[in-house]
Parts: sequence; structure tokens; C-alpha cells
Amino acid sequence: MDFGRYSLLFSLVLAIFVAIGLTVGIRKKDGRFIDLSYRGAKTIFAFLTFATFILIYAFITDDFRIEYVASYSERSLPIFYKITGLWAGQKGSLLFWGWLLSLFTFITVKRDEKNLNTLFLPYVLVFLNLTLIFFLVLLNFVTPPFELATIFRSDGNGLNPMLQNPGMVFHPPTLYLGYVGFTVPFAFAMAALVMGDLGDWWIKKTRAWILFSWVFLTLGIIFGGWWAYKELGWGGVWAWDPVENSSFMPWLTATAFLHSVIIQEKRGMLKIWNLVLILLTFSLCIFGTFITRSGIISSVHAFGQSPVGFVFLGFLFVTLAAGIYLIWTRYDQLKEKNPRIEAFLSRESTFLYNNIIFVGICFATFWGTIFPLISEAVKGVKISVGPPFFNTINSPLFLLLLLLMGVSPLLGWRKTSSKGILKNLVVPLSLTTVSLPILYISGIREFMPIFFYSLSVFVIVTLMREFYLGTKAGVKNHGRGWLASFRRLVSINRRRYGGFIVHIGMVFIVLGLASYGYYQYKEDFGLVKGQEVTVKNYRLKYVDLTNLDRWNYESVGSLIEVYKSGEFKGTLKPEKRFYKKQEPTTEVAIMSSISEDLYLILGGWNGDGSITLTVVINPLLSWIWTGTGVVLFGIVWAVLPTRRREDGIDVIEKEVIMRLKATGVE
Amino acid sequence: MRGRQATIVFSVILILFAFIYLGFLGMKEGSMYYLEVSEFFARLDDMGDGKVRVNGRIIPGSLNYNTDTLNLSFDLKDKDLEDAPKLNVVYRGSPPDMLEQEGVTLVAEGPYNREKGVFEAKKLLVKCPSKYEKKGGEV
Repeated sequence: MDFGRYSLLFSLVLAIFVAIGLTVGIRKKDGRFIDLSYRGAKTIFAFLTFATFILIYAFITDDFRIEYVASYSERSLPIFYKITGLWAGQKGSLLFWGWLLSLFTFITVKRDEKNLNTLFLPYVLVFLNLTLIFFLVLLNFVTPPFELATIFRSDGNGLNPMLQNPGMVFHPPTLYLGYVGFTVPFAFAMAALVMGDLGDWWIKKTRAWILFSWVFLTLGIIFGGWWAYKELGWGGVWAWDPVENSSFMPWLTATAFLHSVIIQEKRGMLKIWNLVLILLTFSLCIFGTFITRSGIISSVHAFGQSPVGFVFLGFLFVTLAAGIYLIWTRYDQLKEKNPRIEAFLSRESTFLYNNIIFVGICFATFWGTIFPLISEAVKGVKISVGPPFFNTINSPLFLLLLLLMGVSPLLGWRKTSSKGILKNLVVPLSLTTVSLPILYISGIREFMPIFFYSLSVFVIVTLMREFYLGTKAGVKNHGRGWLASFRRLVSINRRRYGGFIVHIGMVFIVLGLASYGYYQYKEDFGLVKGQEVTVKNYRLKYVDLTNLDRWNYESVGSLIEVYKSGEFKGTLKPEKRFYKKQEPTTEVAIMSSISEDLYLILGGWNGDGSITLTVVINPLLSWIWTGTGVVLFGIVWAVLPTRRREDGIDVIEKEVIMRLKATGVE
Repeated sequence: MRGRQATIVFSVILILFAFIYLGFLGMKEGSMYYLEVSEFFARLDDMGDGKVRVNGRIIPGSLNYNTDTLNLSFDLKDKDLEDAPKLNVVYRGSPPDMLEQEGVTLVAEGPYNREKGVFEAKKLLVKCPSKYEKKGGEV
């Protein structure tokens, strides 16, 4: 316990020394100070690891003298949830956050400290270290995780049952990995600004970090939705709640950034824009923490309210001010030699539109999220902004993104002749047209859904076509077999084809979201034992009500037999659980298939055994999870190292040749 | 090149206008008053008949749930005021978890039926102030 407290304090002292060492070292150009700082930064990681272990150990050994442990654990809690108690509450989360940051700092230093050409590392470390100091100040003085309990307790309060779910176990750490991960590219960007060396070196250096953070942010958001779906019992995954939005906003700017750095790498454009985007992403991560921790905007996910939120707000202002100042002072340097976009329809222009739309969605989401605050400040009355606002403005923007996803691969860099574009459009467009009557027959007749589904078809077809044409070019030009050619294609140009795989996964996710958003079916029933109801093509029979007594909860469950199109599919058991020391919670029962999810909620029951049952049918919802898997695979594929090329042709060159031969463009 | 630049700028402006238009449309549809029960009554006269969100606490003992018709009815009042006006809320569907827990506040969303003097909630959101934090009487 004391060890934990002291190692936090010592880490802070060390971090301040690192800051001093770096300042002196950079000023005097003295390598010894810099070396010492590197060592200091690595030692901080050791101390924070130690502190984190002590807290986990306290959870495992039921050390309820520590307030934090007593608040989030109890003796009967399974050991798995005891360990995850580390991030169940605010204090532990911040410790975990600080630890991750020190780990990433360690890795960053380790990677480049021996490299003699690394002029940038001290500057990068300055920014990483400053962020770390912020967290260490919080951990030492504002939210001390090792604070002792004021009263003696023989057992803890226990973990909220809603958090006793795998989705909630993975949601916070993945989200934090994403948030903290973006600190590294942010630090590199700021270092580039301070040094005045604004080439794309910092983008190349941080490419892995960017993808790493992006994928964890994505997973964090999806895990959050998955948890809400399984645990909150309202039948959906996303509700545009401020807390949800606050994780979505940095994701949007990060995704924009992910695309625009490609433009800077390939064409040397958008340098300022990229700096702004990474600054925005990092700031939005901090802003999200402020929103969720301050409780300033009413949300259904009410976290405990505490002054920590406002400390984050202060940090946010400092970060933004420093970032804007740096960009401002280097503006002239950045503006020079900025090539222009040459054509209205070119790949880089689609990237530009992509960026505008992502930032647009982010702005709309931001507006809707903070509007209650604005209206209260200006008009003195709180106005809440609900899902219809977000859906009205964001759905068309998502459609445009789908369109761009489909069009972009059809266009070449710089300029594409209209003839070439038309030629490329023939197959995707005709297949999309064919899909329209099929969609109409299958009952999709509204304006927006038609667009979502047909554009999804369009994107999938263009992406498949890319794989096909690339493979064909390999077969023709090198006389390889189809399979060999395909394998070569996707393993030599991992980045390009990994990206396409990510896009396919995204289409799946969009399809899942749109389908459940537009075509969710929901109905409530009052049922007596033995009664049957028909819902769409399901027949549900309420068989029995059961009582269960488990090790840390009791539950009342209803057995429902499910028949689909006359065939018995299984028995579902929606429950209400009564955890000891906690409120009752609804445990939904889900029968998931590729085409739809059947989702049952036990609303309540009476003495005579009759129940209230809510039946929800969510079409294609499982596609969200499948799509996430595909996205993950695509990213992993993209970052795996490329095998050595046998024929010595450069990857980009090869791509150009391939395109020329395959499509006759340019 | 000038013409092409202009096309790009023009299309960006077009997107921007569409964006602003959609924003207005969305705000009209998606924004609604978020009021405490007493504020709700104070503003009742100059409010339209659209949807409103009202936040309050359920008065103990006022909850009534008919399992056959699935009709839920209860009275809502401000969480801190003792002799506050009460709002009768009706809702059709299963009652959410933790409805009558101590310290829990509820947000009811829907239109107010002036003739009947009843708030016809279409959505109920339970807000538990202690959801992810400490339980019990501590702040």
C-alpha cells in the first residue's frame, strides 16, 4: 500500500527531473543530460508497473483497507473480475492510463535511443513526459488510488453487476489503449513543429502507433456497444448518448487523419491539416474524459461526478493553446511548396472529401453533445438533443462516405480521364442497378435504406473488382496461377489490400447499424404459462418461470421456446437477476443468426406466473460484430511486414504498372 | 487548373450548405426541452405540444403497473423539493430496472396531453447517480 503510494510519488519526482534534464540537455546540446532523461523515463515505467501490480494484488487479496478496493470488489467476486477492478472506477482507470502512457513512452525511447541520428527523440519525450506529469499529479494529489478507507470494512461493496460482463471487461482497457496510443503521434507532431522539421518523417515514424491506436479505439467503441446490447436491455447498440459520442468524436478525427496522412506521404499535401487533425484527436480524447468524468452533460451513463473532469478541462485548454500556438508560428513554413490538387475527380480529391465529411460528422456530433450546455448558458433552459438530430445529419454523411469508399479505388492519383472512370464504373454500377429490384422485392423501399444497401453493394463490388483485376494482372504478366497471383498481390501490397479489407469490414458494420436502425421490430406482450405468441416469422411459447440461487445472485427466469417458420430452434431464458448488495438487473436472452437477432427481455412477473415479455427483432445486427472481426483482420494484414520482393520492383511502382495494364487509366 | 480548383471549392461549399441545412432539420426534429418537473409546469403555457423530456423522482407508492394491458402509471416530482407539484406519467411497456430505488431519478420523454393532464411518455430513462460509483448514502 505504502509502496504503491511512494512509487507514485517517486514517479512524479522522476518525471519532473526528466523534464529538467531534457530542457537542460536540449538547451546546452549536452547528450549526458538527454541520456539521463531517457533512463529516467524508463525507470518511471518500472515504478508505475510496480504501483499497478500493488493495486491488482490488493484486489486479489481483498485488502479492503484501501478505499478503492472496498468500493469495487467483494470477497465473493470471481478472481477475473477482481483483477479487472483495476479499471472499474476512476482512480484505478487513471492509474492504468498513467501506466500505459509510461509503457508507450518506454517503447518510444527504447526504439530510437541507440539511433545516433535521432534528433527528434528528446523533443518527443518532452511532450510525452509533460502528459505523464499531468497524470502523475492527478494520481498523487487528486485521485489517489491507494487512499485508505475511513471506516473499517470486513467486505467490500462489490462490483456493479452490470460491469460483470466480458464486454465491460474489455471496453475500458481497449478504449484507454486507443486514447493513450494517440499521445505518441501527438507528441511526434508537436516535436516536428518545435523542431521546425515538417517533412513526413513523423508520420512514417508513427504509422504503426496510429494504426494501433485507431484499431483499439475502434474495438473500445464496439465493445461498448456490445456491452450495452447485452447488458442494458433496451435492444440497441448505440443511442448517441454524450458518453458514447465522446469516444466517437476522436475516432472520427483519427479516421480522417488515417486517410489524410496517406496524401501527405504520397503527394506532400495537407501538412497543416494533418497537424490540426492529430491535435484535434488528442484534444477530443481529453475532452471525452472531461465529459464523462465531470458529469456536466446529463447522460444515462452517469459516472460518479468529481472535480477530476475540470482538471482535464484545464489540461485540454493548455494542450489546445500550445498546439495552436505552435502551428501558428510555423504556418509560413508549412504553407510553402504545397502542391495543389489537380483534378476534381482524383484519388486525392476523394481523400479530401472524406476528410471534410469525417470532420463534419465530428462537428455535428460535438454540436449535439454540447448543445444542452450552450442553450443553458445562453437561454437559461436546458434543451436536450436526441438521436433524431444525429441521425438526420449524420446518415446522409455516412452515405457519402460509402460512396467515396466505392469511387476512390476507381480513380487514379492526380488525374483520371472521364473515359477511364466510365470504363471502371461499368461493372460496379450495373451490379448495383441489378441489386435495386432485389432490394425492393425484399421489402426495402424507403429512401435512405435503399441508398445504404445499394451503396454497400457498390462498395463491395468495386473492392472485389480491385482484388480481381490485381490478381488477373499477375496471371497475365507473370504467368502465375490465380491463387499464387492473388496471394502475391495481397502480401506484397499489404497496406493497400489490408485497407480494402478494412473497408469491407466497415461496410458490414454500416449494414448492421443501418438495418437495426431502420428495421428494428419491438413489441410487448403479457403472457400466462403455456401461452403462445407469433411475432413476424417466430412463434414463442412461454413455458415456465424458474427461480435460481447462484453463488452471488438469485434470479428469476422465464423459459421461452422459440420456433422459427414452424421449426423448433431452442429455448431462451431472459432473466432478472438480484445480486447481493446490488440493484436487480435485466439479463436479456439473444438468439443470433446471420439474418437477424431475436432479443427477449423479461419485463416483470406476477404471483400467478404471468409475465411481461418484450420481443425485439434486430435484422443483420450480428454483422456489426462480424464486420469488426474483418476490420481487425484487415489492420493486422496491413501492418504485417512485407516479405522481400523477388523481382526488385518497388511496391508503388508495381501498383502503377498494374493499374496501367489492368484498367488503361492515365 | 484554375477551373478545377473552382469546381473543388464549389463542391465543398455545396457540401457545407447541405450540411448546415441538415443540421437545422435535425435540430428541429431532435432537440427538445429538458426540464425538471417544476420547470415543466412553469413553462407549460408557452410550450408547444411537441415532445419534452422531464426529469424527476417517482413519488413512492404512486407506481401502478397493469400486467395485462402493460400500462404503467406513476407520479413524478422534483428530486429535492418536498412540496413540489407532481406530474402524472403514463407509459405502455415493461417498466425499466431500478425504477423505485432510492436516489434514482427518471427522465420521461414524450408529449403532454393537456386535456387529460397526463404526460404520455414514449420513452423512460432511468438515471442512477451511483451507477459506476459508490453505493449507499455517501456522496
